[in-house]
Amino acid sequence: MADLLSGQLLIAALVLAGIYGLVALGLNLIYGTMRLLNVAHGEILMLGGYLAYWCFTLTGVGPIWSMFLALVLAGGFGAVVYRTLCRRVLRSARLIEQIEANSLLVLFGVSIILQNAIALSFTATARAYPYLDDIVRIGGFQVTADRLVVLGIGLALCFAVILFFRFSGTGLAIRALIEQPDAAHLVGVDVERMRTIAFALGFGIAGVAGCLISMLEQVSPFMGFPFTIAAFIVIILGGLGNIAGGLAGAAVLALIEVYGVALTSASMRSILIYGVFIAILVWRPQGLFGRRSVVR
Amino acid sequence: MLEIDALTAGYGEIRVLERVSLDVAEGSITALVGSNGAGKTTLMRAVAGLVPVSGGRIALEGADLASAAPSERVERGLALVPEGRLIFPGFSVEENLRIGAIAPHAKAGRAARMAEMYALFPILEQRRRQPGGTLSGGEQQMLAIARGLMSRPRLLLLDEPSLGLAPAIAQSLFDTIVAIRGAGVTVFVVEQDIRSTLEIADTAYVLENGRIALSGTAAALLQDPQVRQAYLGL
Repeated sequence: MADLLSGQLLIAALVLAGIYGLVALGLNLIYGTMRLLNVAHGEILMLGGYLAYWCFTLTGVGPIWSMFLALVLAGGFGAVVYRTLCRRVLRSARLIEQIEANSLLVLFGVSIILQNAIALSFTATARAYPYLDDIVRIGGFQVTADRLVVLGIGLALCFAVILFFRFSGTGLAIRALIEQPDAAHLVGVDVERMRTIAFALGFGIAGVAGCLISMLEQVSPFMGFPFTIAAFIVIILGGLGNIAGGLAGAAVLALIEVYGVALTSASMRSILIYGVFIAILVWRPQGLFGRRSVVR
Repeated sequence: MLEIDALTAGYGEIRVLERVSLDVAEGSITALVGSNGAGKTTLMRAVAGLVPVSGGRIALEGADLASAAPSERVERGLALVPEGRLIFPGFSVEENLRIGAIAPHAKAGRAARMAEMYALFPILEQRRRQPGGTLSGGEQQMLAIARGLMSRPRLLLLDEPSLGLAPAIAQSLFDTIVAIRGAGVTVFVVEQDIRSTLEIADTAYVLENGRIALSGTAAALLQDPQVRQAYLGL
């Protein structure tokens, strides 16, 4: 039991919370502003992971630098996916339920295509690279430097995003679109532009998260799906469309996962995660922090 | 200011408006009255660009609005304060006003206009850090109007502003509408409180079943026997 109090577990939980927070953020933005269910979100993360891997392996450029490239490339990819695919889904659907269902199918297709395209190009073999794996001692415990870097960047990025949504005009406009879409149109929010930005930002952050994860885990074409699921659980915990709630939800899920696995065994991971998923859907579908939403 | 010519609009197969024509003169308070379900809100939403138009023409200061997205209409000087207010409940009062000035042309002088709004509605300044959703109905209506004015409109559309308000608050709201016109903003108002509206309006139209049934100066309509019998219960 003494292990449970160790710094390693706490760091592991915080690192995981930061990553879940980042991945869920993009999913939440895209769902919140458009009601599109982006099941390809984990694949964007996977692409970010591969980008970091190849940058490091071929040119020696570390993920700390390649993540800027990932932000731009994944962000641009997000804008393209919105303009080519998702805008059609939004236009052809008449009901919110249709948007959710149609986007689920279209983006599931995107997800499969991306997985297989990467598997074809680089084979299905999992890959890893050594980066910042020296051990750092802080106080009484030891931790590898890469974890500290991931934690620091993850937290800084979450914080930057919160500041962006709180204080910038664009952030305010995107929040308006999440809260009250009709009124956002009325006050003059340029809706098409905000949707493109939401996609670019969501995908870009997922790309960065992929770079960070590649420092800790192997990259493979199929690594994305568990993160998609985790991200869905996080935003359901935090409340759909609730950005700050999502970050808190990420912390809750990461704590449950890391400490739950430590108390039981690694094979319990999926059971724990899906257990949380189902429990929340049954008992608190409005999320841990959400008000019960008004049925319209 | 605003010209509507033979406008036909509705939702899917359902036509709500049948060849409606009306004019809102610059500097006027123009009223559109009628019973529930006559199509008043649909007309307002069509002008703001939220309801697709199937026929006819809407022009603002002579320029056709047909292809303009809602945000472009705001940019051209049109603001709708919608029925049910549609403020942002999770935003503070101040954030609601900030988002009101999100249109590019409205950014200049935003702080000064916010101060004007607080002078016009002092209660909003007291509550400026409170979430909009915690305000009373009357306060939310003030906030919705102030948010509309933050976009520097030349034409303000008000959809049922007195709905659900206590009579004394509704009366002060009509005084506010007169003050807004006094500040140089043309007002086009839809109302179910027909008497109070006709008292402050210059011109009025009566909408029945999606068509304009009557029109004229507000003073003349107040004296019209048909209006008195059908809408004022006299």
